[in-house]
Amino acid sequence: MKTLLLLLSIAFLVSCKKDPKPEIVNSQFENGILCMNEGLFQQNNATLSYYNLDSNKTDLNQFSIINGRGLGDTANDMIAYSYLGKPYIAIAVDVSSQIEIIDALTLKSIKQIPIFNGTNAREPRSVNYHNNHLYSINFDGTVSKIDLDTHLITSSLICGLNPEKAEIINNKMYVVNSGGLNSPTYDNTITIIDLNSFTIISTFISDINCSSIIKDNQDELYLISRGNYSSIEPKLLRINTSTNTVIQSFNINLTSLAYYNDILYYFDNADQSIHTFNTITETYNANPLIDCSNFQTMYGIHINDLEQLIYLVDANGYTNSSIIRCYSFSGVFQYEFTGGLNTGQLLFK
Amino acid sequence: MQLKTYISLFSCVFLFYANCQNNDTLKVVEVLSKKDSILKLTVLNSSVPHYIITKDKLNELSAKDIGDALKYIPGTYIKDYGGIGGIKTVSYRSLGAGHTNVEIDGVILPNTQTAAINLSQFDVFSISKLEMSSGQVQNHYSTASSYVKSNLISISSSLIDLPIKKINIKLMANASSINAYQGALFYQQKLSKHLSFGIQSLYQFGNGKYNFNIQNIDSTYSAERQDSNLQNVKIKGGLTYHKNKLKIQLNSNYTDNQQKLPGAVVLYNPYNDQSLKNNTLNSTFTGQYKTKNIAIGTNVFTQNNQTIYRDNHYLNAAGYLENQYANRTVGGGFIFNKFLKFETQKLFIGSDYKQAYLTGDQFENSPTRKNINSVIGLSKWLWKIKFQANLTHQYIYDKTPNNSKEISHFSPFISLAYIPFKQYKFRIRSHYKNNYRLPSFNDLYYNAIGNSNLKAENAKSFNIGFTYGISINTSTFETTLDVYQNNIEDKIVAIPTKNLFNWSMQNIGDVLSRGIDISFLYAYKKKHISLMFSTSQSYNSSIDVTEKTSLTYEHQIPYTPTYNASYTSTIGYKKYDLSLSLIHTGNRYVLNENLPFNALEGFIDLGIGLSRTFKLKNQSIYCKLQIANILNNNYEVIKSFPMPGRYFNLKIVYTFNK
Repeated sequence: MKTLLLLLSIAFLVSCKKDPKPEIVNSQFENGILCMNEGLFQQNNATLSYYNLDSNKTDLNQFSIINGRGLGDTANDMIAYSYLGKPYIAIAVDVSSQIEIIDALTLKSIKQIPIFNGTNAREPRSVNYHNNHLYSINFDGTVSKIDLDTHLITSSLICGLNPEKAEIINNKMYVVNSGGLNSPTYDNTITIIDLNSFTIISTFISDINCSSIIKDNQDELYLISRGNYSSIEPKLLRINTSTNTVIQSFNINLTSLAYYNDILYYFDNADQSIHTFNTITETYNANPLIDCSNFQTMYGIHINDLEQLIYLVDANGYTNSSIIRCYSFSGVFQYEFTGGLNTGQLLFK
Repeated sequence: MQLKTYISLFSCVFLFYANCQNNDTLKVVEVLSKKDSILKLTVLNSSVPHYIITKDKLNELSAKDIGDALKYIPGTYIKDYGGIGGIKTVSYRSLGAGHTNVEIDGVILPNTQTAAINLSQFDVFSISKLEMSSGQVQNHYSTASSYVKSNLISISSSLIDLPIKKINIKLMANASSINAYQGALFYQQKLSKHLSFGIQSLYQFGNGKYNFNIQNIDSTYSAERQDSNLQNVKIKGGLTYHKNKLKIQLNSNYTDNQQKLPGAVVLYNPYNDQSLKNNTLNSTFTGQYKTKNIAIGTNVFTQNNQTIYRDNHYLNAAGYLENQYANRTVGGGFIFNKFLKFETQKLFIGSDYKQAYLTGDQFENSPTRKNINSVIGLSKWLWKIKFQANLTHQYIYDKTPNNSKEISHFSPFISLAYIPFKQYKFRIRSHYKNNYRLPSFNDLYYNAIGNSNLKAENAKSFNIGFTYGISINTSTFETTLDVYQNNIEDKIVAIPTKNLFNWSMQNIGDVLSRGIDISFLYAYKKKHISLMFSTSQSYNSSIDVTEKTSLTYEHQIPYTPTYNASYTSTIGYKKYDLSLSLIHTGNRYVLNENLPFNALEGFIDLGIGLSRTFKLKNQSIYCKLQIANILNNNYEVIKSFPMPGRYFNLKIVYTFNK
């Protein structure tokens, strides 16, 4: 009986050992990179992490440390904007169906805006800022306009099926409708919204299952059409915004897209490398800029235009911490740091 | 390689057989294995980990279903999604549900679609016995399929035994404060000296609402668990013929289940509208024949199952997602045992055939599977050593409209147990089993995700331990200790391939699992007082050894607590019984990477029950009041699926036997 009690108490002691709480670090968010980590579906583990360029250290879970609550489930987009002279950050939290507005200097939450249609979550996929308003692109097929004084949705427009992202050119918003949840009948349209009147101008056909959209300095749009993941291959599309037509399409098996100064950077799955595309000559360089064969899961390209650096995200199989690797514009590796789960956006401060 | 193993094993088997013919130390040994007391869990005279939970033990544990009851067996971890109608699947020593077969009344439940059985579908009502064994089946009648997997859960219902009395009635009503209600009826009648007929039905309903708290960093997220409405009807009928050496059983089961699925708790978004409807009809025939020299077990079954899943918040053009599946299985098999002087020594051989067919919205190419499982084996005493060995063979042939696939595997099992002292109930035991988990229809053919090139998941299990028991006057003390190692290779997991939208099933992942399972029991009985205390303690290190350069190399695999324990205690005084049951699970990780952020905190769940039996002539009434999770701890077994806090349960069972 004594042995039994002894063993039980040992068992109890062993099992009560807890992991120490992570140390709270007061980062100043002045010289570093803020990472939005998407987390995983139904795990409530979207986070913000901050890579401090002075200390070369990553501080994880900054949103929850500062705000005492979690960011939510599946963060999908993060943008920086300034309103009445003050810098803010807006985060689209998809499954929680919220737009989270935080102070860009302190990361303190200013307002959490629920994006719902009654009891149906609209699921914001991305967010755009234009003329003192935020626009939430929602997976339920709508775009919601948010007033930044009241932080209320003023109205919502119905666009196409499962829109992913939007780009704004001359007060006009181009919304990419993927139709991703309607597989195998994907959407292939782009909805144009007049942002002055917040009404739909027109809709035109591009190609199926588009995700990324980027404008260049000539007001042309570049899109990734993801194909249908089996018989139809991905493409890079070039769109003329005065005629609203696809003027060129390139058979490149690409996934990520970024733009800076007349150059598109994309990841080509064929050779697992980053390539460039010149938006003036409209030609791509067959020679890779950066070899990514050491990546487990290529998850995004981000450009720091001030420092002239390229940041590539390796999502490590989507279930482990991401690693962000930094390269010069000539493709030379600089350094790397750890992010959270599925780092989806970076902001350079 | 396979053939070699096969041949060498067989030569071993026959060599032992030839050598052991005249050796007979058996009688002495087997006398030690008297009928265990009713509240015990472990089977001391077994060469492999083997646990029995009797009807009385089920009552004592206040188990609603067999998933609840299995939580008390060392080495098990029940993945419990909580609430009424929540899924429960078993993981035993880090081997997933696909490595455990579930047998009800002698027939293995087919589940070719997912390979995992939901244990919450088996209510404890009119279950006479629940068993779990690892390594090799410990009875004469289970057919070949019961031998192929690493672990076996066997459920025996009261309906299958020929009753002693002519008329047997049992009525049960159960109400719990999480808005769940049950009513059940059991009727069994002897039609002649050798023939009985029985029917039982169970109705379960309620909205399953309960309050929960989830820790949201520094704040607590409190809400009501909604959308758990459930309506479930189960009807079972059976005919039993039992005369001398022959026992024949006919059974039919019908289940109709309609439920809402509460879904994961998502921060800041409380809305959800998912539902599940399923119905199952199965019929089984089992035959058992036993003489002094032989025992034969045989069965035939059919099963039809339909499932409809619907999500009304799905953001597609239709505004909802609906998936339907229909699954049809037929099969049968036999086992033949030749006793070698005593029932504990035998040669056995058997084979099963099963055919499964699945259609569904998510299966563009409806698959058909033909499955043959076979076993040949030997149990033999050799001086003070008990030797057991078997060789199983699994074969599947799958056909889809445009493809076909074959998988074939031999797996050996070998066990040695040693009883050094005649006068003590002390046994050293060891076993080795190689076990293949064949890919399910979902793994292979589910639209977009399925991968028809999958191989079987391969697990090698080693176990060594001892059992010891002693009775002094009015006290009994028993203990078992087992140390094990499981090497799992080619684990079948879903991973994203080209991108996050393109998940696919792959044979990726090697796991090295090592652990210790300990059980203790102390029982005391004197006049009106009885006292029982038991505990199981499990330590488990299951690490990812897939790739040395990986971020998760040597990290504990998800949902595998390094420490897990259970405690039960019963104090009986005259017709009253006070029982305590406690589950203590340590920290777990929800993802592969062992970061503090990925940890799910451990928990303690303590339940208390008080019962009384009123006995009249031919009749009895059993009442039990139970307080579940009396400490009102908030915890999750699966992340984002909170379990109920403290709740009350009242159960009344009336029995009539004449």
